[in-house]
Amino acid sequence: MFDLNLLSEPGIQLSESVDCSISFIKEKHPNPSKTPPNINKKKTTTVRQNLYSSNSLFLIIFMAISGVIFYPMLSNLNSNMLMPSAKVSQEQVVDKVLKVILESKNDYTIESLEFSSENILIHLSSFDITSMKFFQEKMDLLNSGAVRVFGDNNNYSMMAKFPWKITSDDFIDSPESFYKIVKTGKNVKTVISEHEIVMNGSTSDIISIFLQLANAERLQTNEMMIHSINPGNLIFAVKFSN
Amino acid sequence: MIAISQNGSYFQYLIWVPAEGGPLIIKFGEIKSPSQFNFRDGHFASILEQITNEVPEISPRFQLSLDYKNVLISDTNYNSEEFLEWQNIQVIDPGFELLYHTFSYPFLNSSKLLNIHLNKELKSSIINSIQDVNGELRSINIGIFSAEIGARKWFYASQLESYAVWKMGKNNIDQLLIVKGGEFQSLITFKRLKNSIKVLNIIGSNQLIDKIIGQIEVWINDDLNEFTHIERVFAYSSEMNPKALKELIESEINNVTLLNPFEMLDISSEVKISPIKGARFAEVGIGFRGIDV
Repeated sequence: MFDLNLLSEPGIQLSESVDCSISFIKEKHPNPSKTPPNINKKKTTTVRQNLYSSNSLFLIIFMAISGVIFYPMLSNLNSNMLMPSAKVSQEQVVDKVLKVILESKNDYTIESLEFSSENILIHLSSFDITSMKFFQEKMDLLNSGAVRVFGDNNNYSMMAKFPWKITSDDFIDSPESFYKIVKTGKNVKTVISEHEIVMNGSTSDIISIFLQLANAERLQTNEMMIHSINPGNLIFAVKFSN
Repeated sequence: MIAISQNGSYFQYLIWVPAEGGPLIIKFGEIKSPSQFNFRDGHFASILEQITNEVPEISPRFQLSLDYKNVLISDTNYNSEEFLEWQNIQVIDPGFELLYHTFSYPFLNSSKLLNIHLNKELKSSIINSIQDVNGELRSINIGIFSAEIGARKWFYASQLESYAVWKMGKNNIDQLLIVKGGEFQSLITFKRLKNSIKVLNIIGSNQLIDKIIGQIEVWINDDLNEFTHIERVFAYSSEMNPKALKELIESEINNVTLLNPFEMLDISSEVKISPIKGARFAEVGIGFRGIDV
């Protein structure tokens, strides 16, 4: 007879009993104030501390002098190390972001997806570490490490940051220019203000709007933000550019 | 270990520690939840806090049995992931998968599946509450299934060829879980009427059901000496004043056992609990999962 354990991964349960506990128990550390005083030890510690503090002073002075002398060389090295990110094309980034949007219904939830003037920030969450890790590998452009998975106990987040530039000057600058490209559908609630248009709808409706913008090649024109409000519903805001 | 079971608006808890002679109960009790209780908004965390405050020296490691009404249960007559996916597309609203986790347990030589559907938000709320009290959650189980673990661990039911766990519920609506050859056989929900039984729902196999229901009808109308198609019946009720359970036990049917954990477990406290009241704690069986009593 199986033992139900609804903490396990959903799906067909192959073993009769599953161990998959979730722990938030904090380890208890001994309280230093309760440690009995040891006078000899204390003396040694004070002497050592003085020794360490004078050593660290010398180290700081040495690093400061080295820094001044070698600064030009180090700064060149640094800029060379950061160069690979410049090799990522906008098309590659768009391709990755579209994958995030399209696969969001199956394996994870989009917590937020933000297109700013300098980068794209993605935050996803999932109960399944395997699909998260698999997706991390697919997303990580040039193994840059800009895609990270955090969390434990069946509650994982994936953060990704891609370089991005608003390159096109064919901006969406008004509700009229937005509606020329996009048909939102009757189930999407829309609020229009002076600076942005905000839409609230089901995941599939918001994906449809996003894809219409992608087809019209307007992803690189405006700052945009997608946010999850509850399972199955997203908010999508497009900021008008001038 | 802290075993908790939820029954309607009551949470029963039983706290035990390992001892030489097996688990030793050091505390037990029950807490009534507020009228507008839900697992969110810190309500459940507050219940957990009340329990852990009783025994601050014990690590807050919990095993939880939820009220049966918190989940949906179904069965599938074919054991295949591919079939389940197809079936979901055909009959289930696409929004359902967004809202519910489905756990499928093979039975009848793995030919069928028992499906438990748990609301994702409910699961997250429980985990958040555990986090709020810096605790550990070892497992989540469901009502009568948790009591069945109790029957195995306290009364060695797994040594029997067949047995049933009978929960006598509110408004004469009962559940009967049948295990045969060490495997889940069926879960029946029925209503006890004045002279008969009305079956409300059957999950799993129909085998044995007519015979066992027939014998329950005999008990209602007359005297029953023994359930002849099943080796033993473990009965309990989570109700405050379970008259029907008292009548059943007083009937002295040969192979009916009251599922009272206190009968089989050592207890350190001097507080006594009557057998019928003790059976209210049957669904804390999950707290003894994986150990030998």
